[in-house]
Amino acid sequence: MTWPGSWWRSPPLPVSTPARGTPGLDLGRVVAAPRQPAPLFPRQSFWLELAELERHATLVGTTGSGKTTTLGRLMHAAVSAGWAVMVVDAKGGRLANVCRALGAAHSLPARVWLPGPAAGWSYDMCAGAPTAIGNRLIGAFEHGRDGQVYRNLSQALVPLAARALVESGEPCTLDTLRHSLDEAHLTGLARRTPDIGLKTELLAMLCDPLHRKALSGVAGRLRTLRFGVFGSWLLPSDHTLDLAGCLREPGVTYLGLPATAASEDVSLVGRVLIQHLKQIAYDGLWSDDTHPGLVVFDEFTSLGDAVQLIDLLLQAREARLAVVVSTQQLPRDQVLRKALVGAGALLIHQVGASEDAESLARSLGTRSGTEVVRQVQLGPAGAVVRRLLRSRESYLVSPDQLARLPVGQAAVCVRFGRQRVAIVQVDALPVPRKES
Amino acid sequence: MPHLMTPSELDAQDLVVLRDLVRFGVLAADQIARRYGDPSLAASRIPFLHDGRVILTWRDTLDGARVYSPTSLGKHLSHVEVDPLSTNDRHLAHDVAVVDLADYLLGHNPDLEWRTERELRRVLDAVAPSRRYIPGDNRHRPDGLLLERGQRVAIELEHSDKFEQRYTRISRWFASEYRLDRVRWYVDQPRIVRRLRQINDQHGFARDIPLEIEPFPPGVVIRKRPNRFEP
Repeated sequence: MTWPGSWWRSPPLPVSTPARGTPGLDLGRVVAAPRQPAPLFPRQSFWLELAELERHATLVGTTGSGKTTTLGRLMHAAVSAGWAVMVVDAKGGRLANVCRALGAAHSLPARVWLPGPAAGWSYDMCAGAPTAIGNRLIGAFEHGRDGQVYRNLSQALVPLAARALVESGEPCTLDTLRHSLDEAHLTGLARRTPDIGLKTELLAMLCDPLHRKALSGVAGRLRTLRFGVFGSWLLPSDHTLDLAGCLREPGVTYLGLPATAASEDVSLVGRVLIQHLKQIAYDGLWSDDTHPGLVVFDEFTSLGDAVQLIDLLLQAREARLAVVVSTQQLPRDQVLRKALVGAGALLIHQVGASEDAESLARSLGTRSGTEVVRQVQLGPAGAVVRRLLRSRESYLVSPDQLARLPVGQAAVCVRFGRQRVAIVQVDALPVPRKES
Repeated sequence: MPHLMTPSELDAQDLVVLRDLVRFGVLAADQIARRYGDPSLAASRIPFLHDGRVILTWRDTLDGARVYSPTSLGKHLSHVEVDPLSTNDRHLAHDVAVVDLADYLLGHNPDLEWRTERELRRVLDAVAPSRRYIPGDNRHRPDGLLLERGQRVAIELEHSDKFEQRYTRISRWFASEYRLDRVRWYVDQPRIVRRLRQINDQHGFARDIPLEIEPFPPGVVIRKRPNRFEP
């Protein structure tokens, strides 16, 4: 591949190994690189530090363009460096096997939460303090512009009900919480609650029709979760995933949400997971003993425009959680779109949508310069030729190039620290199989 | 022009009977006699009250006993403020049985207080304001309220087997009525007992409000109306 206007190249170096001391990965061979301050030339290896992912990474590409391969490389590097890896796969497919293989290869625990296998893990979405439960659940539910009052009321109702459950000696699970938010059962819960103040608050809710409507809405959504495809796996069991624990130690955790099997539930459960990860990241801010982790969202589009991710991105870096979002298209929501496009590392495989290609090409960078323009004027005295200098801005990687990238090649851009852009051939890493 | 009774014509015992008539809505002749304490006195006072337009007689008898209700004048003279509930002649036997139940319970435990279904709303509203009903809410009125050691026990006397959905609705109302502490059903059929237990367990209402199911006490029966088609 040739770059327009690139007329000079330094002699290619045999291997580019900047900062090899830090954990990272050899992403692949550089196929082409625009002129840039970083010494990056074709046929070199593209070394990506894991620390560079801590400002988050966005991986975009159409189906079959090589996203999963790239994700596998990132996950392998993270596991090799002793990082915790967590995958939220909204496609619920191949990455489960990759996770199992990675765990086996590194003799690390590989926990797979995927609805279906009877002996699999379960995820307790009502784990933690009452306020955290309320924030996690209500933050995950969508409320339209007119529904904000119900959102605010629900933020008060759910923690109160969760607290009442705990104080009356009952476990707070999806089942008990859903049950207790029913009007009749909430009255029963108020009767059993020893705390007079809490009892009064619960009963006050029942007196107000607006509160009761909000209650009914939350109970309905929890019922959707409980009796949806994932319902049986959202309750505590002998094998309950401790998400915070999973990110505290090396290991691979896979959370599969098969979008094609249950598209309605996927976005709801996915959003709850994002909210939960956000809370873990927040707790990490105040911890002296943070462990680096890689959180991967595959097929992010299937979660709808999950704006909850914005909050996660805001605080994950300080908690040393590198978030990689893999998606086929950029989200429609403008704030979320900006958050993804503004990630510290962009890995762009072949892009399908032209508007996405345009904005991604702009994010990869442009070069300003001047160009000479010849202007010919025909007059009575003959042709008059003028030469003009005009400012010109061109893409480092054009939208056309992004749309035509061959399978396996990705435009990679690191935007913080040692900034660099290149088109890299990302080859599949043969996942070592455990000797039988 | 019929003679309308005046307050001065009512003695203290008449007022006791009249008040209970207004509170319960109905009383059978034997229940009125129990209140006078002397059947012969009752036999002389009932026609007197009837002639004074204070009470009216239902056409049907129950197990041969006449049944009486207060008139508007009777309600006025009693000075008892209750909810204006009408008495349905199809529920006459049930309402009379509720009076028998109340008499039995109060007779065996003088510390208890009984509030009839007509007094219920005022008693509960004095405890806490009622929740505001919204369309679709189910409403119910128990047969009575027993005030027992500071607790409010809703009393339901059940003898006609109803559909499961109806019992669910009633049980849900008891569970969601936060001004009640307990609910006690008096039931005369094992089938209804089974159904009530099953519904309360299935919907989890038994955890929400303590539930007691007991048989009819001695002397409490559903009295029969005469069969008009019998020769």
